[in-house]
Order: sequence, then C-alpha cells, then structure tokens
Amino acid sequence: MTTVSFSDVVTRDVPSALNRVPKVTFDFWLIKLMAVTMGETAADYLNVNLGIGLTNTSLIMTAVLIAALVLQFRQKRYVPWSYWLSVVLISVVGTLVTDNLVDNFGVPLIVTAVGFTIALAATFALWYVTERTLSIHSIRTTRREAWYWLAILFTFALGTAAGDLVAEKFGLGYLSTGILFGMIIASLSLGYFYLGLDAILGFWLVYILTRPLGASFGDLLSQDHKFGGFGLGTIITSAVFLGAIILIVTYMSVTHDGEEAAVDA
Amino acid sequence: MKQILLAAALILAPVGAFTAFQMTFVGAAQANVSLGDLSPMIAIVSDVQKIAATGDFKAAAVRITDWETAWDDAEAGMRPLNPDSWGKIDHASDAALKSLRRGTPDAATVTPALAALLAALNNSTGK
Repeated sequence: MTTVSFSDVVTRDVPSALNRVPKVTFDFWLIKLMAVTMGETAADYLNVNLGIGLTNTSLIMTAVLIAALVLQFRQKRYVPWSYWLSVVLISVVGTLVTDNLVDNFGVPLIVTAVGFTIALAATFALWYVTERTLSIHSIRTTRREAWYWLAILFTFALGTAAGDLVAEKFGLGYLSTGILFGMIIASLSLGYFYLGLDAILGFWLVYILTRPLGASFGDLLSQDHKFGGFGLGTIITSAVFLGAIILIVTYMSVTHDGEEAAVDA
Repeated sequence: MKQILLAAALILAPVGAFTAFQMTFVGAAQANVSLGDLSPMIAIVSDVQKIAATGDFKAAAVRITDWETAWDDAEAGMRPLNPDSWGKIDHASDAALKSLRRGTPDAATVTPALAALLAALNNSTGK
C-alpha cells in the first residue's frame, strides 16, 4: 500500500528553470493599468446587467477566478494569456469583494482599507518567513506562486478601498484623483531609478497605486461630457480596453517578451 | 527601515504638494453645488412610480434597473460635485431598489421608498 505524504507532494513541486510570472517591463505596467480599468467597469456591468444581485455575481465570478488560477498554476511557467486572464479576474473579484463589504455588510471604507493593509502585510511577512525571500524573479515553485497571487489579490482590494476612500472623504473628482495617484507613482519611480528605492518594495507600492490610477483613467474615458469626461460610456470603454489587452497579450505571446530565467533565491 | 522611510517620503512629498495646490487654488469643497440636470433621472423614477401604482411590481422592477444604470454610470462625475447630496440620493436609491427586488414586493414599502427617492432628487435640484 502506498501513501502519499505531504513531503512527497512538496518535493514533487520541482523548481522550474523559468520564472512563472512575467518580467516587469513597460508593457507589463501598460497592460496592468488596462486590466484594472476593465475589472472595475466589468464588475459594475455584471452586477447591474446580470440581474442576480451582488452576492450571486460575486460567487460566480469567484468560481470563474478559481478555475482561471487552476489553469495558471498548471502552466508552471509564464504564459501570457493565462497570467493576464487571472489578473483581469482578480481585478473583477477584488472590486466585488470591496463592494460587498461596503454595500452588504456596511463596513466603512476606512476599516476595509486598514484591514486589507494588515492582510497584505501579514501575507508578505509569512511569505518571507516560509521562503526567505520576497523576490518576484524567483517564483519557481507552486508555493511561492501561491504567495504571489495572494499578495496580488490583497493589493487590488486595498487599491480599490484606498481609491474610493480618497474620492469619498476629500470629494475629489476622477481627474484630480488620477493626477494625485499619478504624481505618487512618478515620485516612487524617481526614487527607484535615482535614490535607490528597493525594487521589491517599489514594485508592490506601485502595484497598489495603479489600481486607483486605472480606475480614474477609465472614468475619464467613460463619463459624460457634462462631467468633463470623454463620453464613451462603460461598454465602449471596456471593449476598447479588452481589445488593447488582447493585442498586447498576443504580442507578448509571439515575442516571448515577459519571460525570464528564474533567479536563485 | 531606511527603505520604508524613503518610500514614505516619496509618497508624502507629492501628497503634500497636491494638497497645498488644492487648498490654494481650488479652495475648500463647496457645500451647495448642484448635481446638475437631474430631470432625465427624475423622469425614470416618476415612470417607475406610475408603473408601481398599477400594482405591476415586476414591470416596475425592470424599469428601476434603467434608473440604477443611469445613476451608477454618472457616479464618478456627479458624486464629487456634492458628496452630501449625492449620498442622500444614493441611500434612498438603495432602499427603493431593495423594496422592489424582494421576493414579494408590497405597496406598503415600495410606495414610500419611491416617494423618498423622488423627494431626495427634487431636493438637490437647483441648489
């Protein structure tokens, strides 16, 4: 009789030679920004148009996300379509989670923002304790990849709560909100390039902040002229972004742009 | 630790500059700004009210989705104009939507909920 022990499963999680998540390049940030906007508008659209209520929409989209993540984990290397599909779906579910907490459970935004900050900090702490590194260039095992995606889920939820909080508390329009978060991102980039800001710390901070930036950008395109927007509407805006995401993912698949060898760590 | 201080400084510098700019040039948020022309939205809610008065809550629930879509779509642009006034309408909107989307809606909850929503909309017009 053979029994499969936990250690067998872990040792079978053979480290791969290639990093399982993409290199951070210009098109990485471009597509991340668009995935964010898509996620926000798609979440609103599904919630309003499926007509099955916020709770059921959230449950269905969570199931779809889990299916996408299973596909992503099975690749065991970076494959653009499955990676970015997971990011778009995380963006949708992250938005729905925050909406649920605020609308269904009446949790104030300040509490969700603080709560997700603690959850994210705890994720990084446990990630570091188990792996002795937080490098995004050495995601070689399934366990490390799980930490990576958990951190991403919390950055999206935190970014949503922080963006809504700033807009609500300070009554800032989407243009002002966009300029504010754009300035912070620019400042952190300067810090990384010229002042020796740590690459991993900078990466995760910018990852959180691109969430509200992308949402403001989406609002600018979709809102009516009378509010100073471009008046494209949510459906056209989502379609344009989806088209652009598919184009860039196709380009990445052909050029193998984001692939990199895993770094020892 | 040094890294965290550096990151904090890099975040706070633009936030400070932005806040100073806002306070100097934009001034404090104005409390009495109108939300703009709400007449198309008022028309939808009046329509829902008429349908609900006939007792056809199913049709009223379908029609109120048009209100929900219009209201949600305008949120990003409208809300910052007057967050207080926007919040009052949104609160009334949630109650009205809930009243029509229950398993079996009844006039005792639907009628006052719709009236409250219409009142909130009319109150914020022209102020």
